[in-house]
Amino acid sequence: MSAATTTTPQFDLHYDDWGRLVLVDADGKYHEGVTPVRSFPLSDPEHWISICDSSTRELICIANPQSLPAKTRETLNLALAKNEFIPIIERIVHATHGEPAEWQVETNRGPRTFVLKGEDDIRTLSDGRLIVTDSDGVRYFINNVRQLDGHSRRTLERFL
Amino acid sequence: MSNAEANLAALPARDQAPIASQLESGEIVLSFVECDLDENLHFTRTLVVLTDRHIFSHSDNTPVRSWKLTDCASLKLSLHGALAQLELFGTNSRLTHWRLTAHVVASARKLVRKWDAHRQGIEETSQESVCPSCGAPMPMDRVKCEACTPKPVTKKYGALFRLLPFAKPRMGLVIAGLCLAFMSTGVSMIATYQSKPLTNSIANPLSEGKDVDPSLIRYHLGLLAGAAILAWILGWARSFCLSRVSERIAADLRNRTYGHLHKLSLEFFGGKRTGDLMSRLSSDTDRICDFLTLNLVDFITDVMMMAMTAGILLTINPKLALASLVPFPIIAWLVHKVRQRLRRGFRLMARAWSEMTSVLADTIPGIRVVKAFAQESREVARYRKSNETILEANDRVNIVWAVFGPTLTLLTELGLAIVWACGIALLIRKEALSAGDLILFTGAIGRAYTKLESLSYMAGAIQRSSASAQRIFEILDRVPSVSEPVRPVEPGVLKGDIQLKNVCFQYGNRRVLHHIDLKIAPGEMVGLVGQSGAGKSTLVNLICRFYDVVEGSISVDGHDIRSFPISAYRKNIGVVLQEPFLFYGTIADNIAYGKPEATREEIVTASRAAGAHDFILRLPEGYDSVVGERGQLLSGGERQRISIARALLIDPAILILDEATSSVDTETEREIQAALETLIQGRTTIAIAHRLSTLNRANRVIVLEAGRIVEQGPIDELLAKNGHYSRLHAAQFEATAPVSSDEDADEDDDESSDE
Repeated sequence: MSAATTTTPQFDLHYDDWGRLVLVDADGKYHEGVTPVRSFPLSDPEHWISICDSSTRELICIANPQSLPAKTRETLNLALAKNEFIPIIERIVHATHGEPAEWQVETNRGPRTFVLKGEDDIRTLSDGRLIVTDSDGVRYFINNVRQLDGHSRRTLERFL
Repeated sequence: MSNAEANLAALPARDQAPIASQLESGEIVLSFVECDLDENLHFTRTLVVLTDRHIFSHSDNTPVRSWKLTDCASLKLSLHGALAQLELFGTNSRLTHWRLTAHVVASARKLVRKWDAHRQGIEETSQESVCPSCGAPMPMDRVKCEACTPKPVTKKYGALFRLLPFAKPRMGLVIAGLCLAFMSTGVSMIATYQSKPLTNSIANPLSEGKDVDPSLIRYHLGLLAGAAILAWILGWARSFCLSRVSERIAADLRNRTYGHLHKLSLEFFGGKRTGDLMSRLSSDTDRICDFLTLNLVDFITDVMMMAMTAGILLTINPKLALASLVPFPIIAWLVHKVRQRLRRGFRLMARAWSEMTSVLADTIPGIRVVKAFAQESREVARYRKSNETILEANDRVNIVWAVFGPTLTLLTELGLAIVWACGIALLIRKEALSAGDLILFTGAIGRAYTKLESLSYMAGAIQRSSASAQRIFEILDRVPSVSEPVRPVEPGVLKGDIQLKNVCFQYGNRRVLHHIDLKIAPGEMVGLVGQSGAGKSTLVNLICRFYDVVEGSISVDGHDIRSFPISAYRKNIGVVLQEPFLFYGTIADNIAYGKPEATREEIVTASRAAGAHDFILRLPEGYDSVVGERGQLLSGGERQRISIARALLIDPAILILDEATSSVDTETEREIQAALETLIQGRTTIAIAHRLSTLNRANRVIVLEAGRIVEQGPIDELLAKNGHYSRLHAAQFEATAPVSSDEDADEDDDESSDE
């Protein structure tokens, strides 16, 4: 735990031949298979990024990634992108009535059909975005309800 | 060979041909998974097939890729939340990887398992090809049973119509009510109809100075009064019948919903807010009840009355009757427009109510925390805010109403003016119309219009109650995720021979138990230890069948627990929890909770054995003392002993102690300990404990770490072994008894921190 300080320590990040992300810490120690984790993925995604080992123990905490060297930052962003998967719903094609409901949507990552267990699985964030969690635990964003087309909005309103 | 063909046929149709062309003769498909993401995390389908010689991968627009199993070293599945990665490694690098969502993780897991089994040369038996819960066959790529997994429902017809089946058992009363409604409306029409003879044969001749037979006057006035009185009696009887039915329908609905709620598993309650459920059961059912008793009864009589009026008007003068219909299409259009808005508004309103009850349900049980952190004003503000949401929702509805109501009045006034105008025109043209006809006409149409107004308010009432009905049917439509078996096996009185085979479990995407194999003999006491979050409580929840296993099986006395009827099975289990929950009621009621028919003798025996008898006697009202939900009257240890007595009374074969003594001081613990020892006699006991001293009597201790069993055996053996258990032991006793601290354990501790 003592390694986790808020001032960004010297370290290096890279991928090895095994496709693992490797952290070389200030003492020159290699940690293989580490994962970056955002501490506030919704309210402050750009700061407070922790690098954790395979059992999610924090090794390093980066308060402000902007302070990192460009190359490290690039690797970090790449690694974050690999583990981040919240498609943005752009259109609701169809949703069945009642609960659970089957939703057919178009997202920024392609079309998808999923099952929504209940209206409780739609959470409104303080910034107005919606998070929809399907029955498998996959999450989707709806960035701006007002920007949806009429049909999508009316369908969505049934669940709000 | 036929087996191989069958397996190939299990592949999705579009992949069969390309994969088949790659297969060598005699090559057998072992398993497959349809990965649903590509490298850039876009939704794309990629099929990964494992055979006894190759791994193939095929997506729609690319040729099949293949890897020889002899070139592969390992296959690894890793999860990050809802996102997963399946990696194929060669001897000195990663060969490839596939991305997938939690949606298909279970199939991927199965594939990895097949891989492992194949590597180790084990031929997996086809044991899992049948769903243990309902007995339906399960194809090889399925992990959830199609037959008993809840599916999305498609119901388009209105929620209110779904109330009809509830009226069925009271059809007699419904029909009686409708007949009475018909009669009372008919009789009230007589009064309306009297205005014609009263004008034509009495008022007109009198005003023209002619004589009128007094008996005629008496007759018509008598008829008017008689009809009014009869209509009053019939109306009273009608309301009585219909309201009676409606109240009962609403009560049935409430009971049914509450009954259904109890069939749902903990998973459902975990995801719902208490306040929301409370509001659905109380205010939503109440709204439906109001609708049925008030609005619907009025609606029925209004419709009858309008139909009869229309009939009379048409017989008198069809032209005038048509003129009076002018406002109708406009009103119909208005109602239609308003409906959509109202429905949404009412739904929002119901949700706002839920939100407000939720705030209450959050705050009141947590009142100690609120006070301790001096956050009263914040809680008040939170309540005020949710109250404002209700206001907003109400305003939304009211704005619509505010326009709708007066518009309707305007239209009916206009309608009346049209009727007068047309009537006068007809009189001028000397068509077959008398002054009496016109008076009757305007009178009748005036009444019909007022009814029309109240009828259109129905639009609101219907929307409001159908929003409520929808919220209730949402609960009723929920299929319990822990389902009753299709072919139940009666457990009767079990011996308590528990066996867990390869049990895995996850909450959402977080896997908390991995491949647990465990056998517990009847009468054995087993202690479960490990850090919090190691999966101890989950394991116990699975044995209680609060949740169903994701993989593997749990059997008791040789039967899968999913084949027992749930409540019959749970009757064999006694549970003592860390936080004993006492229901509002007497102490005796609380002890007899699991067996309400228990005699006083049984209650006293149980409480004596639990060491609760003495302190109960010290209470002024003894066993009849009332305890509340937070049981302010009793101390933690006392409440715990009551809950032990509760478990003792049902005489269970399996006893579960979930940190039964961790919330009390050591002195009280000792007393409870004595009570527990009576309790565990001759029962299969599973005790979760942080205080290891609780487990002195355990035949065996099982150490869990991150969802896996890392060590098990009798306490002495484990201590001698210097492993996980002795480390836990040392950590706990170095504070209390530093003298006896064994150096070995300390050393061990150092090693572990290195790990």
